[in-house]
Amino acid sequence: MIQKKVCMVGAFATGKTSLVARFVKGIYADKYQTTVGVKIDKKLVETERFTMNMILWDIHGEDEFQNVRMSYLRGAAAYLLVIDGTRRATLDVALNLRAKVSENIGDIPFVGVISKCDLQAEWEITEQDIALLKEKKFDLVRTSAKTDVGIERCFLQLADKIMSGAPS
Amino acid sequence: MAKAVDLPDAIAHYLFTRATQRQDLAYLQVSPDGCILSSGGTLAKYGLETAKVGDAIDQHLLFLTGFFPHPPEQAVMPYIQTEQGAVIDVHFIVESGKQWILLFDTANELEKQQQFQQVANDAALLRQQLTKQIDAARGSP
Repeated sequence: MIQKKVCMVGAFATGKTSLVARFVKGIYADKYQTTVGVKIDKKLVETERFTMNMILWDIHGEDEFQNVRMSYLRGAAAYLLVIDGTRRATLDVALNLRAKVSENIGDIPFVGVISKCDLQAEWEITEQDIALLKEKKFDLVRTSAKTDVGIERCFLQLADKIMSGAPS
Repeated sequence: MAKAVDLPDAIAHYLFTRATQRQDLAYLQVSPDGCILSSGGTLAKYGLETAKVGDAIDQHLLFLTGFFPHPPEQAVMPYIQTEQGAVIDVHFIVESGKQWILLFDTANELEKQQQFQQVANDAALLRQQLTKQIDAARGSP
């Protein structure tokens, strides 16, 4: 069976852990609990065309005290780049992280995730921001781990990209 | 790499014993394609008690998927929390052309680090929320 390493990358408190918890265990917790280091999980992704065992690396978020170590991304087949729709600053962090990954790991496939779409009324990420990301050829998925929107889709899209050998 | 400090044997022995006893060291020598060539230390601590010479390392340590055949020559990956609940610092080193993987138990350190990080991130989120509210009150975008 195909087994691939997939990483979650983004600023702190963007919802990376919630995304994985919803995808793998179908659960959601409202309380924010910061990740230190990496949480490893796995999920079997089955489609008509392939079955893939995703080894998920939920990497701690980038913040003012800790930068994401690029060593964590070694061997990754792809990654989800997570942006918190309610915090504009997390978009800038995501763009910086994407550049760092390209420089250190290479142009591996990724999917941009804009999280917390259940709080869309509070979003600071504008339609203009989203249009600019699309101009940069970002594949974007709007998600909510709370209401289970877009979760399967972003992981399946990533799996498809891995299987098709799509560049980032 | 920084030059090794020239230590008296007694101190080197003390530091070695302290590090290996406090953090339950296990080690694996692996081939370029990620198969186990030799192993030792507290293997059972990391679920490696059944690992045999010739086994692919990522069969036993799932989180090493993707690292071979191009493992990092030297890398440290702290606080890897496995599905089984272990917390491991993973070190990749190459010495005399041999690839080694070292595993250290860092569960105790993680707890302290988590507490510190939680406070720091909660404070940062609160600061961002307050800034947003102040900006809204001032009528700025």
